[in-house]
Amino acid sequence: MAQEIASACWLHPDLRTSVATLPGGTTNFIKRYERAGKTTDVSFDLLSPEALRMVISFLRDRSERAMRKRTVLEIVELLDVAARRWLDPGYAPRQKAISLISDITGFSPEMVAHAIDEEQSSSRGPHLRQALTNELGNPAFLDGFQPNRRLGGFSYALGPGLVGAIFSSNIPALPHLEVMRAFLTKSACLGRVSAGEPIFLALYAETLYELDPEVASCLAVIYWERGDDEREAIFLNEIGHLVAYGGDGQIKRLLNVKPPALEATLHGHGVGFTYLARGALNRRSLDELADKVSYDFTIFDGHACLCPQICLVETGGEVSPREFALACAREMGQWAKHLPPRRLDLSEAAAKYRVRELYLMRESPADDLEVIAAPDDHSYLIVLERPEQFEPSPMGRFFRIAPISGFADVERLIGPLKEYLQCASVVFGAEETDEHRLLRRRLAEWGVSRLVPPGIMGRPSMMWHHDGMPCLGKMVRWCDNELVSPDMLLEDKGLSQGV
Amino acid sequence: MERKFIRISEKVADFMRDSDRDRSPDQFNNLALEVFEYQYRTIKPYRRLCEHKNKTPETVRDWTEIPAVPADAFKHFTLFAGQPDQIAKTFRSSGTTDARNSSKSFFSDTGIELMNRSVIANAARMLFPDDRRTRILALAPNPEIAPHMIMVHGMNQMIGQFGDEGSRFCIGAQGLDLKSLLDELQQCEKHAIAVTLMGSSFGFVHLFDAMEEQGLRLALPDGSRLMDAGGYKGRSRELERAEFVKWACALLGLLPKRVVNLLGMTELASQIYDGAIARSVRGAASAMTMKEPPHWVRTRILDPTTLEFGDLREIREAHCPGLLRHLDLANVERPMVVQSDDIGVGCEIEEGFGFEILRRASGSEPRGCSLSVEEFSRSRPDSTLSVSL
Repeated sequence: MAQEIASACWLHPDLRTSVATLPGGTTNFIKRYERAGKTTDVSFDLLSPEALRMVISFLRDRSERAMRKRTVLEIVELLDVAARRWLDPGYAPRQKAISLISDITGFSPEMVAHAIDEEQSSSRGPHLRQALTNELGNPAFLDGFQPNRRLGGFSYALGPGLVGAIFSSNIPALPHLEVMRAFLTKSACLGRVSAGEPIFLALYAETLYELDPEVASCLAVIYWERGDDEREAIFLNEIGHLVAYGGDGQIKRLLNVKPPALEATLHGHGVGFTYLARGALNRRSLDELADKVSYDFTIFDGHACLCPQICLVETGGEVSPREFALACAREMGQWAKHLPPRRLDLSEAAAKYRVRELYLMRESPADDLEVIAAPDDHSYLIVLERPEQFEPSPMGRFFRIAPISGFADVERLIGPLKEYLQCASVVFGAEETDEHRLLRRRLAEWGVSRLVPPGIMGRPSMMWHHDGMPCLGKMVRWCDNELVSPDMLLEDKGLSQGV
Repeated sequence: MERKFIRISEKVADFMRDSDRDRSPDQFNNLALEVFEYQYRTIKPYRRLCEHKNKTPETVRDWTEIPAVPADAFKHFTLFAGQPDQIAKTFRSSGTTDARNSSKSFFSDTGIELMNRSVIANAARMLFPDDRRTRILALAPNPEIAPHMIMVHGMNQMIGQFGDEGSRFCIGAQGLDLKSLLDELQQCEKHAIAVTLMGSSFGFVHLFDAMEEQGLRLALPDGSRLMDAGGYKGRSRELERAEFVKWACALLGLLPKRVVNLLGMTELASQIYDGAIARSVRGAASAMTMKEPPHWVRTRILDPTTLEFGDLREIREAHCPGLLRHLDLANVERPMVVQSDDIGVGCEIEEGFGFEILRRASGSEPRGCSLSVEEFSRSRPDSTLSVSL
């Protein structure tokens, strides 16, 4: 049966018409994805260098027009309506995205649906407004000069005009985050999708187009193959701000090839972990705690920088690390039912199989290694071990629980990871001691940029300084209109009322 | 345990010798169960694995239920049924300087003897079915230089059993002396001495390149043959193989049915040949790339995504590829069921069933912002972390 082929790329119809006038403006090709017996074809359009330049100037032009005549709150409202649509289980593009992303990436449909719910819930209007307030003070600064009490004058925040985004594929249905950030700074967005998950952004663009074709004309979704230096160079030379996700190699390379003056927000590798102090380990809340930590080890099957790679559990609490691990074994089984594991390809499955079997052979209570749960369907693996040093998780719901005696062990295991530290789920228990406060500070000093309770590691708030950066704040440039000398600001507190 | 080991080894050796006619259907199964029980009792890490799977000598009734160890386990564990002082020889996988990343196979004297029998019986069946003594020239380092290479050990056995007095290893302390090898091949051509060239697939590529460069074409005498071991990882095997055979025939004057490929693993005592030579001697249709395990080895295909086994009997079009799992009875003192990372398909061939290797399972990780094991170890080359698990 002939099926409509999904598109990875999206251009506004006006732009599409213009590009079509260029000889050889686009070259269409099909990528075939095969996983676990399912075949999915996705259509890609490769723009000629000339067409890419045309797209860029179109986006800049439209952002001048469309964004300027709207207030930032109107844009927030639009994004909110889009999020509401995507949250509706009956919304056809959502259903299409769930099925396609699942077929292409192997994530279970339940996991993709869950990811969309989580991400779009955080994309609702109140969250976006709050994020703007969090980073800019007053969202209206983006609409023109607004009174700035602390300055004793007026301030105006200007977006970069055109944000260029290079996406990764590890979290399903996430790329819209960068489109929102670009639009929230009243800038256009040119996104290069990842071949690993190429279809969500085009569907999201279509939603925006249905809601507001003019604003949607500030978005273009394109693709070029890795290693296509010519197109990448045009992209990097023409955008006003770069946002990129990727591995160490990709991020280092981009830093080398981007124009030195181009501002960039780069999201490289991250390592997350869970730390449970003994005060948190009591019988009364054991099941709830195990449920939440298990959820963190389930979400995205570990394929996100936000996900924990190790769970450090202090000994000496009312509940031992082993008892906690056994409680997690029950909960992981439940989560595997609610959010079934990714379908793996042969090599991934072979690697997962190997890790499991080697652990079963290694197990030795004398060496403090115990395999707590290794279900026959390989859906997850829980091991209790005392590693000498941190070892990255092979992912795929590999849940490593390390009994520790205290802060020194956290430092030994986590301290050396500085450059990669990102998200930590930490529970101290009812009573927070000076040591705990010190530890929290140390984690921040080591590089952790997000501390959360268990159960929400995979769902960052829009208010989070993503990887330690004010992502909206970083994109804007300020113009301040000062009306008084600085001395007067401190002397005359009544001044602010006058402005 | 020692006496038991010797008794089982003798039984396995007898079984290798038995012709098809003499073997009863249950014999393989019974022997496999006996070896399993021995290994379960004597190889600790293996026993742990079996216990986890609830597969013990009491519960296992069929050889297909015997748990396999991943080939990688030979890197991390001492998998040996005897006492440390019984280890007479240790073979290591090559290709890496990091000792932690090479597989180690331990052999006692009795184990070596059993392996030698397997090598000879298998070569007699698949490489020298015409029972002809040839000049064996091994494109491999000699055993003094490479005592840890299991392939070299096997070749040395073949030289002793099937080679004429001029047979030798061609790689010495100074490396491969191409000139003297080519001279010797020309002499053999001139004096009608049948030659058996054997070596790693990569080694032959060097020879071919040199001959091509010199514009040298040989027509090796009737009875000459070539056996290459291993292959090229990560590339299309079928194409490579056809190309390899084409070159071997064009440059050396061999017939395609005299070029045979061997699958050997440091973790196994037995090897698996394709049927090019054996089948042509039997007068069967050529099915060159299909590997045919000897009767003391059984190969199954595991689909790790479903954890189901494909049957070798299924013809290749009919089912998905999977990971090859070998049971080698000659591995009495090391786990006999080894799960490899080779991806293959089962094939139906005349008078039996075989398999074909397609590629190796790569450690492919999706790209993204979550750090993978591979990337972590790459980013810290000096790291002493053990990231292999």
